[in-house]
Amino acid sequence: MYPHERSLVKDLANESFALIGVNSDRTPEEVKAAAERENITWRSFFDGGGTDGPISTQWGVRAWPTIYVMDAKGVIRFKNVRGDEMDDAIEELLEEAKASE
Amino acid sequence: MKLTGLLLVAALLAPAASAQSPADELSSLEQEFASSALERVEKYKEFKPQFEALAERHAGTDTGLDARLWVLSQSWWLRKEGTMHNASRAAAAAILEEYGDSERLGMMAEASYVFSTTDRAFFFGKLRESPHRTVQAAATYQLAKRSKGDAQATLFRELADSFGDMKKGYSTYGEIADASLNPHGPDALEIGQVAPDIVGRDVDGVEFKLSDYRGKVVVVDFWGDW
Repeated sequence: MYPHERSLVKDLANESFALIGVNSDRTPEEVKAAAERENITWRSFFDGGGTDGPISTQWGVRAWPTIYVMDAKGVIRFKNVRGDEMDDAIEELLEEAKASE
Repeated sequence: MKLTGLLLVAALLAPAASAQSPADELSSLEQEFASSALERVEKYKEFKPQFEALAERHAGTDTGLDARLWVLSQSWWLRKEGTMHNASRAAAAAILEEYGDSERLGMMAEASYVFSTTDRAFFFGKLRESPHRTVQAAATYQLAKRSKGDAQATLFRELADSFGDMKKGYSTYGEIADASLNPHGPDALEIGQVAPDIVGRDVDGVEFKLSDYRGKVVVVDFWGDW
């Protein structure tokens, strides 16, 4: 996951795009260590220090990673897309947003 | 090289148990378990009596309780043989008999997955009578998580009312109970729905919202570094 996400965030730095994490590691320190090691530059919600944190609980997440892709209006448009599929989804939504400007 | 060899010989010659603290004894046993090449079920059966013997040698101490908790939580390996519930029942009974008033029994509640429904109701009922609020809260939470329907809602409400202010990891039981009582139903998370907002804190404790990013294409990634 990391290399793909890294290149997404880098390639889309000038686009109207954001990658937001919801992290279920045990401590903020663990997340910071992972961020340092893997060059993770995107922001995450720290979800209480476990997979039973309030955000994952409310969203009913049972498998990690779980992915949602929202368009510029905040509408859920794709779920659990990976790799090229995710790239295509994002590209489609970016073009859609540009077309409606 | 020579020095390492000598140290190794010295270590082998050292009397096994006497030089070790009880905690070291337990951690050696855990390491032995971890590095054993046996298949998991056989491995658990092989090591269980050793953990129990250690628990008996150090009865009434933290290490004794740790050894008992190991036997309880690892009884999971017996599930496919259909003997997990018997094993967990025996282990839980031993823990309550020796350590019923311990403030560390929240750890027993965390092994909620090894119990039959009936045993869980019984043992967690006992834990909910613990003199320690942390134990009561942990037992109420784990029991709620494993319950369904109205019984579950009642337990989560009790968790929020009685223990809402208490920490659970970096969150509180109140926040977790609220999230459990107000889940985003599957309809709310369907494609085509406006995503529910998320209000939370980043790793530096700074509050932010998912809706801060409205106007952008957003990927939300539930992840962990494991």
